[in-house]
Amino acid sequence: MSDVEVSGVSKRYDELWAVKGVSFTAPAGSFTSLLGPSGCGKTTTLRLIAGFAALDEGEVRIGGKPVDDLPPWRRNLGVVFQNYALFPFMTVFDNVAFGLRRRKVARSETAARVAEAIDLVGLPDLAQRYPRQLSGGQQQRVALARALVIRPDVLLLDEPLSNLDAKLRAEMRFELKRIQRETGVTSIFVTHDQEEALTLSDQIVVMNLGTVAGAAQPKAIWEQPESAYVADFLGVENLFPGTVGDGAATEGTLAVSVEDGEAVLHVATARPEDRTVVLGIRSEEIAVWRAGETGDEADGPNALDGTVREFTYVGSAVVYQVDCPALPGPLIATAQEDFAIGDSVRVHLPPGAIKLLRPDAPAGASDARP
Amino acid sequence: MKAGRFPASLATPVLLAFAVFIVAPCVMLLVKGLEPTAETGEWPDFTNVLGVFDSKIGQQALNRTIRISLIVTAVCMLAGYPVALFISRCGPRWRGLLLAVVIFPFLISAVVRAFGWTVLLGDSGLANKGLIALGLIERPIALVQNEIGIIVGETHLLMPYMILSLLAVLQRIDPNLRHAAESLGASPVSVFWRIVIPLTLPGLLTGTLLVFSLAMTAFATPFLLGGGRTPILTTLLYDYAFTLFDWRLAAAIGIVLLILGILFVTIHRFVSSRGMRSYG
Repeated sequence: MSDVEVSGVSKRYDELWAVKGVSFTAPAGSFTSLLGPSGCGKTTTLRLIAGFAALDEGEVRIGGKPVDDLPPWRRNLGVVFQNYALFPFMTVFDNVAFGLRRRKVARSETAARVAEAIDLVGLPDLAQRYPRQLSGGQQQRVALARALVIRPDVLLLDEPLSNLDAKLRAEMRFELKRIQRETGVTSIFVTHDQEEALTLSDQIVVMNLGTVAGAAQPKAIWEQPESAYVADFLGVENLFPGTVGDGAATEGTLAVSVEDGEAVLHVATARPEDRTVVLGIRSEEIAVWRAGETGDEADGPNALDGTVREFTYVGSAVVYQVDCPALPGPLIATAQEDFAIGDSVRVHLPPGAIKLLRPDAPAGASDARP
Repeated sequence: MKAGRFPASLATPVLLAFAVFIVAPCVMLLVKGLEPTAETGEWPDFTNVLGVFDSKIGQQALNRTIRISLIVTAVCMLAGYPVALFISRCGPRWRGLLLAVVIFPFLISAVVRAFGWTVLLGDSGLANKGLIALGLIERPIALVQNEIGIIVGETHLLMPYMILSLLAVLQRIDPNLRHAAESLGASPVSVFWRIVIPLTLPGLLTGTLLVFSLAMTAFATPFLLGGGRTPILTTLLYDYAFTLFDWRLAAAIGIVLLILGILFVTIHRFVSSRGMRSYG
């Protein structure tokens, strides 16, 4: 078990920096996710750690030792690929045994360790099958067994669940968690799925345009994203640029005026360093009432008038798009009640639920790059 | 392969042409080659076919044909593999250019190429002059009008088939397979022998099948580069047919070539089906 220190790593392809100055530390035995949209550099970062590509700047240390001069076959890393990358002409047994045979492990020990690894991923009885005779989920398990059997210092997973269907993906997520816990191997997991990252990780590193946009534990990153970009990527639907006003609005709240809108929202948070901020609030934190049926909160600050523009039914609730004249764009709000398109409503944004975010990138930056 | 709803009528013209121009000549070959030698004999008479194996010149030609075809196949494989590997690892721009270079010889007739080699390999040709200049030999050695000439010419002629067959499979190899092997501790040499070679086996088999059968049946190149004293089956067949006008003996050699071809394909298929059982 080893920790991984990535410091100031950069990689350039021709004129384009695929990764620029990426730094993070994956503590020994932890599960770290690199989260970001396609093209954000997360897979490149993983490939640099694995040694499949040479880095142009920076340093990667595994267990305290720099590995940049080591070729991939001397790094002792387990890698699981999105497309499994099983050797098609070898049986499951030979696939899993490949790494042990390269290490000249004795035949009897190889057999025992392969059996143990196949057992760990829950595939006994399939050792003599060929990859093409297995389902996608089974192939992914073989890939995992093949990577783990060599007892790697670090397990690198490149979107391993993306090629599986939804049901299998949820199942494999639990499996991955169990296997990681049982083996205790330091794992670095690349994904574009925030849910995967949140459920699996001890630490999430959000990447954007080849740089680290934020890194924190799942709970922290969920509750207080570092920046508007991170919030956007973690599913904060409502993001509005704003300016923090002087003084306190009421006891313990700040008055923040929304850019291009008349609304001045009260936010229960500490004063940020910069006056220019992005206000963020999740749809499920917003309360929605029919106009006229208003309660206490609906008359207070942070209550706005609006009209239902569109709605989508998501099973557990209904997601509404509400046009509020006081806001520059439509508000996304979740409610249990049924409203029709065109209904007049009143929405309330609780001061405690609004986050003040660093405006490092405009909302929607996630698709700024192909 | 399932024809599905594919209209059979579209395939008919070519299939018909095949029937007329391949099956019919084969039948005629068998009729002529197995024709009785004596007036009283009955069809089929194997005397002529067996005569090919009995006569010294026939046996020499047979052995030489097999030997040259095997050597050419081996050389194409050993020399073509690195080329195909190199091209497959090149960027798209270079790959296109190199591919054009590989295919280019197809645009030149075999006869022209054979003459080219005659000039290059002749006593005062570039090859001999170069070897003398390097001090490797003292006087010109015979590089044409013998087996060496045939081997050089046929290798040049057939190399593209091997390279293209290999490229077709090399380009389909998922680069992650190499990375996976490397991450598991395999050095590049080990990756080559244990991953790349097995993955390119189908291409190697296709290439050897093409090169061997084309080497065996080549005529112009061995005719022009081999000279009169190194007959192989095809040139011997030509001599019988157009010098001696013995169509019966010529057809007998044709039958031997046919048997040789069928034999090679059968062995090839057997090897492929065993070696590729796991490829699905």
